[in-house]
Amino acid sequence: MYTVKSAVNALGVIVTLVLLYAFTTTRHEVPRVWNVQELIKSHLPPPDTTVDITFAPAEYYYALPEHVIYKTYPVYAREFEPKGYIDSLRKLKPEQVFDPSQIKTKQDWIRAGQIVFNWPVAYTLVTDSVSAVRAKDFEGSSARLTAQGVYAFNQYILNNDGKLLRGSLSCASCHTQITKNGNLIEGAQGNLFNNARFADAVRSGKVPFAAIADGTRRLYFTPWAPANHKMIADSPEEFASALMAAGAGVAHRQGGSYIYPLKVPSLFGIKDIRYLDHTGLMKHNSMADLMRYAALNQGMDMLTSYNGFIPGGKNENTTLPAVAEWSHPFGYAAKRYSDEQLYALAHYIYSLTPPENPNRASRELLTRGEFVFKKEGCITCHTPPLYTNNKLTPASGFEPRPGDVAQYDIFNVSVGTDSVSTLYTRRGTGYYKVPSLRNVWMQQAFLHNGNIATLEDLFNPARITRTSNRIKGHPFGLTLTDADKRALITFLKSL
Amino acid sequence: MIVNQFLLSVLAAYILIARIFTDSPDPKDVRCYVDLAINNAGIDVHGSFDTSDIAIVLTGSYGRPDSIHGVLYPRGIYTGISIRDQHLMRPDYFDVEKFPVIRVHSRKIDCISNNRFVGVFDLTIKGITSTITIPFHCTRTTQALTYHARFAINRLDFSLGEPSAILDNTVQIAVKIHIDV
Repeated sequence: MYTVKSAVNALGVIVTLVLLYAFTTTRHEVPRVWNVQELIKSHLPPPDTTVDITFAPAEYYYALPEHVIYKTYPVYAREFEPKGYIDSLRKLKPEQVFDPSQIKTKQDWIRAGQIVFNWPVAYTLVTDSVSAVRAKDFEGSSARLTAQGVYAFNQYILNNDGKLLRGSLSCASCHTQITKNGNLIEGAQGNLFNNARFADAVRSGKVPFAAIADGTRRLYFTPWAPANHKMIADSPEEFASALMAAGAGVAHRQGGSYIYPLKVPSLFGIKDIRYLDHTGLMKHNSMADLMRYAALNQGMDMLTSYNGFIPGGKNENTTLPAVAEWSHPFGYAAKRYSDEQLYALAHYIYSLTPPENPNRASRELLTRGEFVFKKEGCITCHTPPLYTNNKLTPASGFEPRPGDVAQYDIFNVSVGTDSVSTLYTRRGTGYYKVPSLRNVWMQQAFLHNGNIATLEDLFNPARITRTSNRIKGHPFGLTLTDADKRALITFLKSL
Repeated sequence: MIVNQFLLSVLAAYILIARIFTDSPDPKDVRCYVDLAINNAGIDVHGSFDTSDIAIVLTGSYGRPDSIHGVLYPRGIYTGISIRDQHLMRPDYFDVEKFPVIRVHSRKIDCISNNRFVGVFDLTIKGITSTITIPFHCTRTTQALTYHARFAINRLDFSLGEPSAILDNTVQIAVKIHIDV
């Protein structure tokens, strides 16, 4: 028998369910990514004020086909690969795994974002039945396989044509670290890419040098750089040597330099970081800014005009290619992420947390280290709780422009590190941002070019005076006693 | 221009004091020291100026000054960290390119007890002048007369840096003028 009490109970259940749904399925409005006006507002200008940077128009961007994201499969080193593995993948059907209509909650967005994070954007056809990756190629290399023998830089993909491809250049390709124990940590400073394999392929001609020369030109040519700044390799050996000179945690990313690679940053806590890129290339005031930065870095910077030079352009890099014509020198498909994919990606990146810090030290040593940190003035730039003051410092040889101090967060003193990356590359702004020291215990590369491998070397005064591998700049902590140095390093590794 | 030339000639000649003393021995040597201290994240950071960065003019009788006028060149600051010293030269701090000198001029000096004084001074940093009251005293030996002063300023009053969560606004200043006779 239907009673008033039953009706009230039912109403209560319905109201509860509605409230539960409302709290867990927050309405998400996906920002429009390619808004050129917003890009211009957040993108810092290059150090040369006569340079014109023109982004591809929104109509062009949205005419690019979107990535369709399929399920990916791990790439094993041959010695770890299950027998018949690759052939078994060929028998599978492609499976689309990113569907915005299925995303309801914030957690859904984060899970979807991890899929996007791992989605490769460059592909080569797999023709073999065994892995081309061999574990012995990693002996003596700074790159690592996982404990299961997976080369996480690549993934296998079955696309809609049923072809098996080996993909690379996902976000994860650079922003994933394999620990000494072979554990995989997404978001940490990456150490996946095996430079030695690629260098061998270049030296042997497996990657034709003509492709390397054209590639380095597209990736690194900067119209406003001085004539004596080397941007294009002259020979396979020269390029291979430059690759081999880079240690772990470093990448020769596009818009930089093949001689001056850049440290791969940690993504942990990036939500708090006000500027993206070592040069502070883009202001980061919202999730939409991160989405635009990701879009730029995953291809759109190659379709940006830098004083008339369009890296991915046709007609000698002067014209935007038609959508079907665009290709990256190393095999990018001419595609873009959808706004929903970038929104999911940003959610995932914001959600990343570091693993537990395994370093332990006595309270006395940590207290001493913190005292040294303050006494030496480190705290002025690396201010807690973020251990960065979130400001930009001018490079040696660059004076802030009259309007810069009002417009950007400038800490007007140069620490004297090498200025090439911010003065003579397409990512250049004239500034370097003060990096956060959080999770520095996980890093294998320090300073923006990643040419210092340990904190011990960072505080070694000999690095400024030695005849080989001299690294100037950031002259802090160079006159500490051994005890104070040990305390400071211990403190830093506790962050 | 004429004033700057005068100040530069004073510094170049290392004349640290020109004064008129009545019934007093002639000074043989004069040295002036200025030390700063500011709290940064719980630790006092010290800066100092060497005597060569400072020019002082006192008038009055021996141990009883009528007026004190000083010029200090902030370019000479030493904090122990050279990058910090360089930063202090920049426009957000002392801006030494535009404002090469700090000036202090007494408006009046009162003797409040034996060897103890209170002066009202105009202090000009970065073109900003503020009137401050500085107590000071002197100590004497047969060979020397020394003036000591301690006071504090708010750096933001003179546009030195910006508000900070870790850097205090108050700068403690200690001045010592040592005159050998």
